[in-house]
Amino acid sequence: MQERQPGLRALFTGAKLSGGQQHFVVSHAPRLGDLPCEVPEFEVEPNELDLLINSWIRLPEKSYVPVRESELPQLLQAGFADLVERIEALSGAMRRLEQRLIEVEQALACEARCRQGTLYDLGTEKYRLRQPLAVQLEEYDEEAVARIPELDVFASGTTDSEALQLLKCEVVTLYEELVATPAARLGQRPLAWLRLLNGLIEVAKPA
Amino acid sequence: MPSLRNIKYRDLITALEDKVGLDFRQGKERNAKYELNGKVRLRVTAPKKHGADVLPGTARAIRGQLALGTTEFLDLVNCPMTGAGFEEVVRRKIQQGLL
Repeated sequence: MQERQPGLRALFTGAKLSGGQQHFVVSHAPRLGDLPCEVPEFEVEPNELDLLINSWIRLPEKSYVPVRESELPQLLQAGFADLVERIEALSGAMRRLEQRLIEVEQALACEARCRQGTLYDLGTEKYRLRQPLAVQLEEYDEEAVARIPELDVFASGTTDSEALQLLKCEVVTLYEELVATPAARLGQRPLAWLRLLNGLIEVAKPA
Repeated sequence: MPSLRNIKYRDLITALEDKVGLDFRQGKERNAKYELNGKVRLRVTAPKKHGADVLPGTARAIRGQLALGTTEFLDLVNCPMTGAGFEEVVRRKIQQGLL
């Protein structure tokens, strides 16, 4: 048996003209009316179609129950309570997403656009680099930072160039501080800095 | 996700001077040494004053100089971590042969 398909949509789904006889073929019987649904397909004359459709369509009387205007808000409230609840839930979700977006934007602002740079000198006549020194350049929204992670030394400026210039001074200062400190007073990390710098820097002109 | 944004300059300087015990007036330029057991362990550069907040790149670099993770660094600046707590972190890293 064909499954019952209620509503007008089912009524017109299968309507089509059949050849030159001007007959309509209705392939899906609607549930409206008392038409037996086990008849999947039948033919009607064109002038009979209106009568047939009218006999099928019986709108429920309750659809037209009159409502006082004063009762309308209450009825709407009751009818749309679920909808209102869902809208509120969505609004809450939107607010949480907005907050999350702000957090992500802030986190991204903290994320640097990194690239490698190179120091070829230390900006002084006093010292010379035996080999170019790799530095990490980090560009943020409001500052540029030049770092040498192995030496825990950095400098910041408005531009990369400014940061690199300042970094040269920082490297020289670090080197002089380390050289001036007895090795016995240096911890593991400062000793590693000194070893690295001793290999990289040579005195160009005695002070 | 902990963020290094919105760190107050005053809070950072207070944490570095009062908790860690750094003295930026003694060192050359804007650097201070952190010593433990008679040895220099860390070297920290004071941030430049740039409005009320420390810029994130500078904060990140100082965090690295202090040998702290981001959460530990924020704890140090925002109070939960005490000076003794910081020392404990440094001692642990010394034992690991890192400092």
